[in-house]
Amino acid sequence: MTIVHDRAGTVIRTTGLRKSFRGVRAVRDVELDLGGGVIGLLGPNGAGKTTLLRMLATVLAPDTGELRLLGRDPRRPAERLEIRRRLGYLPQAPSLYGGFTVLEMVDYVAVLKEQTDPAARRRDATRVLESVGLGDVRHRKVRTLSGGMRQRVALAAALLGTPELLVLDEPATGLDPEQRIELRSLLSETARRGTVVLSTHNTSEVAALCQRVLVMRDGQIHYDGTPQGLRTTAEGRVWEADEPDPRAARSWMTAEGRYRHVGVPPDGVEPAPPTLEDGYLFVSRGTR
Amino acid sequence: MTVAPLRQAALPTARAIRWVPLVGVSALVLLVLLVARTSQRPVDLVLAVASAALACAVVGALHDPAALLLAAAPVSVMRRRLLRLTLVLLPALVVWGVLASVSHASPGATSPGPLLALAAAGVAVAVWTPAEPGVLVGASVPVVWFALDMTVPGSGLLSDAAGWWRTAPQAVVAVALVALLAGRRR
Repeated sequence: MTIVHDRAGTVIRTTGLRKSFRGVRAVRDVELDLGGGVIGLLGPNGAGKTTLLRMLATVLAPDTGELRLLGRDPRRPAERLEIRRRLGYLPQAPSLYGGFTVLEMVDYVAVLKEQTDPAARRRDATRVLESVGLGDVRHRKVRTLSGGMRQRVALAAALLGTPELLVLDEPATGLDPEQRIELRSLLSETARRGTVVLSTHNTSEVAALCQRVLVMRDGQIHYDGTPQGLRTTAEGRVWEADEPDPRAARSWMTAEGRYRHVGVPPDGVEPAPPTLEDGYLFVSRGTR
Repeated sequence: MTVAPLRQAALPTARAIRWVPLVGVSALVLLVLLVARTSQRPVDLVLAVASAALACAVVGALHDPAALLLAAAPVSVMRRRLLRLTLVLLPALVVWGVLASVSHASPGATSPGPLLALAAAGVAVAVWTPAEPGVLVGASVPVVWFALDMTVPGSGLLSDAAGWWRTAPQAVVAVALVALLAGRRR
């Protein structure tokens, strides 16, 4: 397992982090030591990604374990407040006030982020809206926006105040390919000044953007390292053939009309170079 | 923490609150009260229904569609809820004052105590219930408590408890406040 060296010191440190809901363990014994850059969190539905991100955003308290964010303990109210002043959080599928204009919505969030100088707040709201490409629609009502535009309004709200720690739960949901590329550019720029932790189902997003990737399954971290390292976990476990192979753990037909197989290859076949998605399949499905 | 963010958030929060339930309940109760008064029927029961309905609307105003987005804001959910409550409780008390003056009922029936007791109980339950259904469960408390009071027969602890919102509103408010303070970090 490859660990990327911290670029800006430890921003997130967890020890034995656990969280259960009605007896179901959503997060189990998570140990993390994360520094700067963009960190991708991959995993199937129900793996515990959102629960972990909610804890990293101080929204949810862990049942047990230690959690330190930006050098502070979020269990202590005064320290939690300090963390929140330096944190941006985009939840999964956030709702907005339909009757507000885009600018009013972001301005309202800025007020609740304690930006009390109206002129400076308005400037910051305008800045983040322009950074997500919504400067031209800032006077439109939120209810008239598409799903992708609403997602960008919520992202703009998370970017207010130039946070040192940005926690994003599936930020690319609802964005078209062009907007996804703009998002990458925006997040990599943000990560130059701090830490971005994002969850996604999209391995190409991770390959293009993240210096470090975590793979969750059943509430636990099963991989913590570089995207390159994740790809190499499937080295020698991928092969292609003209016919389906029942011995493969996973098979699908490629755009070229051949079958790509993942699993323990039979003798005599030539392994194909693995992709990040192959590596993710190995780790997330326990196909090793 | 200063109060400046809450002061500046007051107007947009007022805009974000769904006023339809409170306005609708107020108009309906006023209409029923006027009909009851002009037909010389007892208005005490109408006022009791009004207190439960208004309390339900007050607790329902805690529902914040953008709660997820605001969950990690430095201005905590309790402070935001306090702001919402203040904004919605003031007009609810004004409505109650109008209903009381129009009803010409006995002073005991026009006291805002039962309204405040039901609202406080609902808010306390909303705070202690897990986030997702919290407001819904809390908003149902005034209606359920009123219904119990109307349906539980005879005497005994259950019967007495069903009427506490009318007979001991100050005590109910006090207990609810303690529960609120204990649950403020939730």
